[in-house]
Amino acid sequence: MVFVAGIVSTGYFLWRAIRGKTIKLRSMAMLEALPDVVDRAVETGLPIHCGAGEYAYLSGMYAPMTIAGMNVLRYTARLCFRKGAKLIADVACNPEAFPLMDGIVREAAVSEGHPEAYRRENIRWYGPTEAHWQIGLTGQIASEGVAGLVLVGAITGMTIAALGAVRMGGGLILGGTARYYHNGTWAALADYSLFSDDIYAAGAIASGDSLVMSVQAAGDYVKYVLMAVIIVFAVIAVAGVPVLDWLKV
Amino acid sequence: MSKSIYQRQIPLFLIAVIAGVFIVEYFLIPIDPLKALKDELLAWGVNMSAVAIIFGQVMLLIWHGRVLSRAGERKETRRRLFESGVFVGGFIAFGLLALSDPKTISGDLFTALYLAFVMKFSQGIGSCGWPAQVNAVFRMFKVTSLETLTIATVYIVTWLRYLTAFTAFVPGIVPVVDWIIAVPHAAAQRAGLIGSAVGAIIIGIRALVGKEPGLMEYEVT
Repeated sequence: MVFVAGIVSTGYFLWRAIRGKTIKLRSMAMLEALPDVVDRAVETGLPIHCGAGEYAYLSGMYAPMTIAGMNVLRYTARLCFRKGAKLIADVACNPEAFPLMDGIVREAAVSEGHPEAYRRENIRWYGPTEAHWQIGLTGQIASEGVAGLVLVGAITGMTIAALGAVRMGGGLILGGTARYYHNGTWAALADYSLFSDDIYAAGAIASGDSLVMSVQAAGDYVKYVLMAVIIVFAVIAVAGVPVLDWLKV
Repeated sequence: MSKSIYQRQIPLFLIAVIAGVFIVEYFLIPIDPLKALKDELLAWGVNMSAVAIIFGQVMLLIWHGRVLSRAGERKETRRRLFESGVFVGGFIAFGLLALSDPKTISGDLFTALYLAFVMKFSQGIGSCGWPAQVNAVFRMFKVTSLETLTIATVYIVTWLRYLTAFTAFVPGIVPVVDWIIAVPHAAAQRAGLIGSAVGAIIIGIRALVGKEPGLMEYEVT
């Protein structure tokens, strides 16, 4: 039912947006802080690390998180190339997103008028497991320093050591994941964290596309309905109505 | 010719045709010619995937070689040379081993050597990671707001609840923490999952209809 409601709502808002009725999303602290982090990178001469998660699958349940992370990567890359900061794109454990990330960074450099700023060696893949990713990124931060880490996508608890390295190196941490069990890590350790589907909204805002932002708002109405259903069901369940029996298939 | 024609439109058209054949064969007309066509297409898919994987691995090697060749002035050249030497040595050794064994990577000798060397290194890396994680948490777990105070409090009482020695002296903590896990934690978890699920549906639909810039809007230059 949620799936069908999501399709209907998305279709309606897509139709509205194509007809020119767009919706503006509110600003998000994490995205507002990004230019400051880039400025900090320019001033200190230290790099910004940015990635689309520890896992960046282009299919399955992590794919939407990867897509949101790619939008944030493009936004960050453009800011970096525009202001002259060094960007290092950290490829996820699974290298299937490597060409996409490479293309996004290269496209951002060209679109900002600095194609020479694109350097292939700044697109880095550390290996096929979480341990490789964690130790590789931590090692890079330890040897080169860091101004900030921007990581949005499918992230695990293994990022803690890398986050520690960023903090100890004086860098700022921005990002988050829609993976519930790992939201706590970022809530506790990031300077600007995104919770759950915040990352989808951040990706939509980072895309700068009014159609994308308008369609993202479709989810809010589905969630309003779900909250209303949950509250109604909770009240009538407390009143003794066998709600759970109704839901059994 | 526009890049969008050969980078996007032609591949999408081919995928649509192939997917159409699969759907028709599976749901509508399960006749032998269509089944044979589906099997042939799947075989082509496997072959193309294998070529893509080999191509990707070769590209990784070439790119890494370029990184190394540009690293002449850098202080980390020695480290990169060492890493590359380990990689090339391992690549040649395990490649020869895989070629000499008819079972390739599922052979007993390969498996034993892999477990003895590669997995041990991996476990070593992992064992370095866990102390680093604990260190990082305790260095950064600072209470700076109501939210972090809540997180820290819940973390500490949950940790104490699962310490057998502590619960022996303070049994009253058990129902409190169990309630936190069963009620507010479960509610937050379900809310988070619902939000993620709805957001994922929207992005999925946007990607399907070609309105998702995170994947398709821009062309690789």
